[in-house]
Amino acid sequence: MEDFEPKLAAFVCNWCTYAGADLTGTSRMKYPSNVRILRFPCTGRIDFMLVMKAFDSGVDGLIVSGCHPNDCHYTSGNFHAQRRWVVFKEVLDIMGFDTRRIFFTWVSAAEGAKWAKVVTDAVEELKKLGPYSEFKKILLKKLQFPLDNKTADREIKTEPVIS
Amino acid sequence: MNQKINQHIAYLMKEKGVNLIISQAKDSNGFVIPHFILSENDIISSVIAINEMRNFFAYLNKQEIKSFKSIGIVCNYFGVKTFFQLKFENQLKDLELFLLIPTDDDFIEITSEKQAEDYLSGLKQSTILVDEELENVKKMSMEERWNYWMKTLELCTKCYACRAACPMCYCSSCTTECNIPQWIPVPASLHGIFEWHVMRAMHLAGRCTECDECVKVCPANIPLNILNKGLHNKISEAFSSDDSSIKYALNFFQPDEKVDFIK
Ligand code: SF4
Ligand code: SF4
Ligand code: FES
Repeated sequence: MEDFEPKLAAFVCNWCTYAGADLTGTSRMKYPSNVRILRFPCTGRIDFMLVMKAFDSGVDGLIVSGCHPNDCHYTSGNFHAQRRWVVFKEVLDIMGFDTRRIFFTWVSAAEGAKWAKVVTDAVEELKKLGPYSEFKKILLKKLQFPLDNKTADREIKTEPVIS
Repeated sequence: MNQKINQHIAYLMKEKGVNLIISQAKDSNGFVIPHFILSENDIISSVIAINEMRNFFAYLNKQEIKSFKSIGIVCNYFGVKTFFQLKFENQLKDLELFLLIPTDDDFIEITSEKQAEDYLSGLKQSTILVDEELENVKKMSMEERWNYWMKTLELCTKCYACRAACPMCYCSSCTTECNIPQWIPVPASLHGIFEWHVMRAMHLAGRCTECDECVKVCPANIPLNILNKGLHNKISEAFSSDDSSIKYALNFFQPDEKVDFIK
């Protein structure tokens, strides 16, 4: 996978990471150009469905970043986001989605160097993992008509047992 | 329902001004279905084991049912749990509710949150079966898990019966119907199905009462309870610093919370 260039998106909050990434640029630090940065008002605004949509549009990995805890411009957006991601990561983990491709991090407006490192590390990791073909397969899989007459062979046991 | 409950239903309708009772009955195939009692003539006696009973609280979220104002509902443990959660989310405002829980040859009546709390604290629900299934899924490698779900979800027809039956899915307009932007792809192809299930699980995280109504109505036998239980476990494990933080789960936080995967 030598010449594979991963497509990487970054969801960042306006007040910290976006400014941090700006600082990386103005201090002329180099980092891979694979990343497409999308600016959000706050990490609290990063709905989990937007993360899904990023993968729908074909990214191989995603950075999600905002202000450090206690530094959120809106006081508590990142605390809420943090909880959401714990739960979201669990859903994806249970379903076998490759959560190694989502990089959660906090980058403040002063951490230009950290931003460069986050992106470099993410790109390196994604080069190792390769393109996310498993997910792209289901994106391309269209409904087949006529539908196969498959039926569930599983018997579901529900559990109203109470004592 | 049993003699005692039926007598009480008649009493509620005559004396207490209750004008609708959502009871349960069996159809000719043995499925448990809702039985709406609008007058004393509708009262029938039926035998349903407490573990077979279903959770029909989803009806209470409907405007046409809400307009009855004073309603009785026959339910079991999960009904009481749902009552508690819906009250907590302010969904049962202006409703006068009578929960009737059959016991061997008697019944328990619950009308307030306090009573519900007392009732719930005395009982424990078994989770052996779903724990086992969850364990099996968690034991798999990531690829195996993905293949397992893809194979399972392929049968989902996106009929949204799980949503319709769920008492906690009460939003009058759902993200699935939103098409600007199109959050959930419409066709029942794996892509749309996968996103629907991620979204369903997320929107019920911390609120699901584990009544398994969604599993019972699913024509494709999708084991939704594995996802529900997985999230339930995660929430109580990760945010268990105090009780209210579990109750609110996703709209509450503790300032000192640390998450290890956020670097
Ligand atoms: S999981 Fe079952 S009930 Fe829900 S949409 Fe799919 S087929 Fe319908
Ligand atoms: S078990 Fe299913 S139907 Fe019951 S509250 Fe949870 S998601 Fe809704
Ligand atoms: S403003 Fe940056 S996380 Fe809220």
